[in-house]
Amino acid sequence: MVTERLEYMNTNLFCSISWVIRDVPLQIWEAETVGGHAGPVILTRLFHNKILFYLNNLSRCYLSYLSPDFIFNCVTIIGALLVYIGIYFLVRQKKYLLILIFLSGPLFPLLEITNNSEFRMAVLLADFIFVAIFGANYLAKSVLRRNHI
Amino acid sequence: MDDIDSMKKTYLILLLIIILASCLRFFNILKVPPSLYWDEAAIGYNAYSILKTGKDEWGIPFPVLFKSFGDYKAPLYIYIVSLSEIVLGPTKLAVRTPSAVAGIISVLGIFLLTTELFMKFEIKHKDKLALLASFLMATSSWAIQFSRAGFEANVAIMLVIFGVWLFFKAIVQPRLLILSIILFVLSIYAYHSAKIFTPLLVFILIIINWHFLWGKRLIFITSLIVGLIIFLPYIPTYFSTEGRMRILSENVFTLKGDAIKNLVQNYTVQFSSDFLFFKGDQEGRHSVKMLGELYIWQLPFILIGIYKLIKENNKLSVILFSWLLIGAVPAALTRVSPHAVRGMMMLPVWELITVIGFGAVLSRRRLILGLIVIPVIIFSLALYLRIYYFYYPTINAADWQDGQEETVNYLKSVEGKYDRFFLSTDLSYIYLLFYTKYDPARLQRSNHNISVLGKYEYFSSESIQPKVNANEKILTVIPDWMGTSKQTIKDIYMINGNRAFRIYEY
Repeated sequence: MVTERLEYMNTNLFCSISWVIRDVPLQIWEAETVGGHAGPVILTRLFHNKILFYLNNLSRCYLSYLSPDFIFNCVTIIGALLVYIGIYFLVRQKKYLLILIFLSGPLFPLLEITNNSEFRMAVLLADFIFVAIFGANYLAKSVLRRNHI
Repeated sequence: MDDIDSMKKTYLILLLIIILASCLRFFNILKVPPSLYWDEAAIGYNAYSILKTGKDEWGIPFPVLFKSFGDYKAPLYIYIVSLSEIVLGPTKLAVRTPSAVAGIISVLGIFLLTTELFMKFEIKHKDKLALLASFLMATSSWAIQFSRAGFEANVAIMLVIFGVWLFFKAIVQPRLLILSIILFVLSIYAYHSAKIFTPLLVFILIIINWHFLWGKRLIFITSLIVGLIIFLPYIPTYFSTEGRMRILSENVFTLKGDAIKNLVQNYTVQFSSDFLFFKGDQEGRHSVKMLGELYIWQLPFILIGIYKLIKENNKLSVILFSWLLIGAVPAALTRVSPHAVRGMMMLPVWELITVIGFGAVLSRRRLILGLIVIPVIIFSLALYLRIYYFYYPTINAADWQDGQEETVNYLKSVEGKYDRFFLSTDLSYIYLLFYTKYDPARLQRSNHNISVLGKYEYFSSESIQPKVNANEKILTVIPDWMGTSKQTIKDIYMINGNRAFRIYEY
């Protein structure tokens, strides 16, 4: 069961709020059946409850869009490197608004803001390309500065 | 005086952390994981064979690679287990103890390494951060998972940690360089992934410290020569078919599709958020599968740590990033990725980066750290332990081949009552050899004929209808999935209640 869910997530690039919601009852069922004998019910409730499952699924889903393997699949390995360089420079230059825009990119597919999956993907791609351009720009500037050109 | 007091306090806390690490590694080690996996049983039996005859199960004297199932296992762990079997005999505990001990020593190792590196690179709060690093290693789900079963990788990682520590220690005491190189070479003997990882790491360390090493060229060259001499017997394994068996059968280029894309995909997935923080390795023996290899609370500290390392841009950054990037190479080169065992060399770096991130926050936000992070750390550890002890053995009993030991023990208990035993190959011969302490010399004399082991005989496609004398009393063992109309006299169940084997009179 767990493996199937993971494969689903890794192969389907659109992990979304529907998945997050759909998976929680399964997780609760798993916790109750397997953990039925694992001490008092209160412990099962403490460690395996709806709030934690939702938080876990949401953060898992959100971060999967910023994960190296996902970005590599979208913009190739060079693109992925430039994205991370871009993020580094944005943080270093304290461009908080731009960082916020970048971090809100995954919310499009995650919250299923439009029904059109191609549009969601396009938004995400634009998000990555936008930061990658920053990365490339700053990288070029630093190289030029270092070589006193 | 204050310094002495603070040092005493540091060592006392370290001792407590080591005690905690020992408890987490040894508590109920024979029940969780529930059974010996067949690789562990093979390690145990080959170690027993070496101890009794000086040869492996195939009759090869003190081999550099152990043929075992034809997978040619790395030798060091088997030799260490043979030492533990002197005291503990060919038992489950003897197979798992060296790995658990290596896990505990790694906790001390990471403390020493962090202290040395942070002193050298003038990072504040080095003692506190070194203690935190050792605590992280002690409680790491990644480390605990592999310390509680006979995984060779755990010994390799311990050797690498101490190798790197001694390498930097050698800057003050150059003679330690010899010991450092010896440990690096031994790590290659310990686990196949180190064949790729260790030479690359040593190369980077040499490049970074080239000026110092060349200044002490006598001791440097002596170390390399000593290392080479110890490495010499192992070098042919890089080129022989036996030595390349694993990489030939498991390499990424045997996958369908674009080879380069597969390679990069396998590499990047080692850094995926799913693998690191949410689901871990999906092989049942490698993780609990419900949590990541690292704790999710480490993520913000890892990001801060990475940022700080890039910003500092010093030798420490180069060392840690190189170590991390090289650590992902062995898993990337093989078919299955992410892979927690092959990628385990990355673990110390993830802990060090977390600690560096922690250090950056420690100077400013102590209250936040105390009020939020400590309860979260305790909760995460408690959650992991709950899953590990209560859920994991049940869900993954089949992954650990539960039921094999119980079946062999039952057969042993009724051995006197029956003339012969007919076995399905689902009951692996290695469990029979290991748990019955089958005489290794006898196996070697039979040219490793495992189809008949004393009273025990395996079905094969040719002998599905074996010849039976009229008065013979015979017991048959079949797996649960194989149908029979016979009345079973004993059913063997796994810890999760699923039937593993059925035993009936022929």
